[in-house]
Amino acid sequence: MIQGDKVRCMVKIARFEQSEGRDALKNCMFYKNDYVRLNLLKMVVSYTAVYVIICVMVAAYYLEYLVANAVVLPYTRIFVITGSIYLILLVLCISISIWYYSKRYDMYQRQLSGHYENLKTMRSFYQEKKEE
Amino acid sequence: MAELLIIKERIRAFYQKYSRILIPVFKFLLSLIVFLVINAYLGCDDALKAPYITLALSLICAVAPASILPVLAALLLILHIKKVSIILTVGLALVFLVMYLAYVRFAPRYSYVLVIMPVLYLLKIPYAIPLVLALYSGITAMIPMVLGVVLYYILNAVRQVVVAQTATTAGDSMDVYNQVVSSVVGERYMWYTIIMFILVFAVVYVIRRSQMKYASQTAIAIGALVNVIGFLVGEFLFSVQGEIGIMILGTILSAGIASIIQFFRLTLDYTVVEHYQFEDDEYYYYVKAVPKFTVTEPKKEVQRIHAQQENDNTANLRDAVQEAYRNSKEYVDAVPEIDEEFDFENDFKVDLEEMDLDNSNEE
Repeated sequence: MIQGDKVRCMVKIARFEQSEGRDALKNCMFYKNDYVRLNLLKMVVSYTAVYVIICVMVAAYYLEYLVANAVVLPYTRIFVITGSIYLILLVLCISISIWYYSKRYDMYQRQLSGHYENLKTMRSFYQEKKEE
Repeated sequence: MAELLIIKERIRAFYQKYSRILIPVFKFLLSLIVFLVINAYLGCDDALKAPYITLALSLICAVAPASILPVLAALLLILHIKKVSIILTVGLALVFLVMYLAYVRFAPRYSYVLVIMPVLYLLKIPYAIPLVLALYSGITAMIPMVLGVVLYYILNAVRQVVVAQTATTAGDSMDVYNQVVSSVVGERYMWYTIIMFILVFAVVYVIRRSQMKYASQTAIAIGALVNVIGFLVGEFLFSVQGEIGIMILGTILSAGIASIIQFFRLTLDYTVVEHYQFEDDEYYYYVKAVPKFTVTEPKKEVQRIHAQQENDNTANLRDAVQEAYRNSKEYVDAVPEIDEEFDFENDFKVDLEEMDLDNSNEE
């Protein structure tokens, strides 16, 4: 016989797993530290790539000047300045990322707590059936 | 108001019923508009402007996930620009790569804003983006909004350069690239627009999250007002000619779009606000509950003017009764003695009843 409460609970679980809970379930298999570190690593790689691309684009813009003054350019100074900017922005990005991903993980945990309650309810339904 | 809510419920019910068809159709139409705008605005390669290519790309977007639209739009743009200048193509591809690495890869949810923003700019209603995004998204939605504005100005600069000249040699191409970069970086009005959009976004976001009555509607109105005043000041500061009327109309239209979206998303009934106070082991709660407007669609009473149509069951029953009547009458006609004594109209029933009684006694 169909149990209304059981069907409602199953619908809730299925809806959560197929929509807003998809990311939560995928990411909450990590510990919080691992999740934050993994995303931090991705961010550092992306940030470095973006920084290099922007440097290349700026260099392309000043290409004529760079070619004309290739011999007399203060390379050490250029590397120190670009390196410093890179490091300052990197620290900023890391700080923002740690805050952002920690908050996001906590949000996933909150979402999952409701989901676990529904799973417990489902388990109780199955246990009742087994006892019968 | 009640009629509007009924219409809203009908539209919502229709959408829920046919969402499997409507979502791909909407995605197809949006993609079609985006690709047509790209072809009209920056269509350098005639082969890519062919209708079957546009239709094929739109069909792919209709069935694929939503994040495929920005990718295909970027690809189409790059292929169009490739016809004019290789170095500009590389530059544009690097810009898209930066946008992907910096934002889209981490939060693909709002990546469609990057595509829609240039399209809305051409329709003169870019002001809808900060108003609408601030109403139902988080603070991080500001990033694609800003990137969208930058993308529009980049495409605008590319268009100006492409229309002015068609470069063929490497030297010319470097000039083209330098012109585009100078044009974008030196565009002070772009930076002003970005600041204004962030301001409007922040105003709408803060007001709609407040506990005041009609917070969302107030947020839209004040956001639109800030937008108009801000861009009026900007147009005087940067001497933008002939844009004031269009800007005001565009803002009104954008506020209208935001109001319609808000109406469909959430409509609250502030006339019956309820306040509750309760406690648990850890906290004391002060709760303000604002009910949503709910309407039940009035039931239609159907009055039948024509007689009920005959169906198979009633026809069979009528035939059976007529046949039974005919048989009994034939029987009576065949036996004249009975005919004399038997009154068909009155005695037939009695006779049947007696038969039933006999049967029941037998049982």
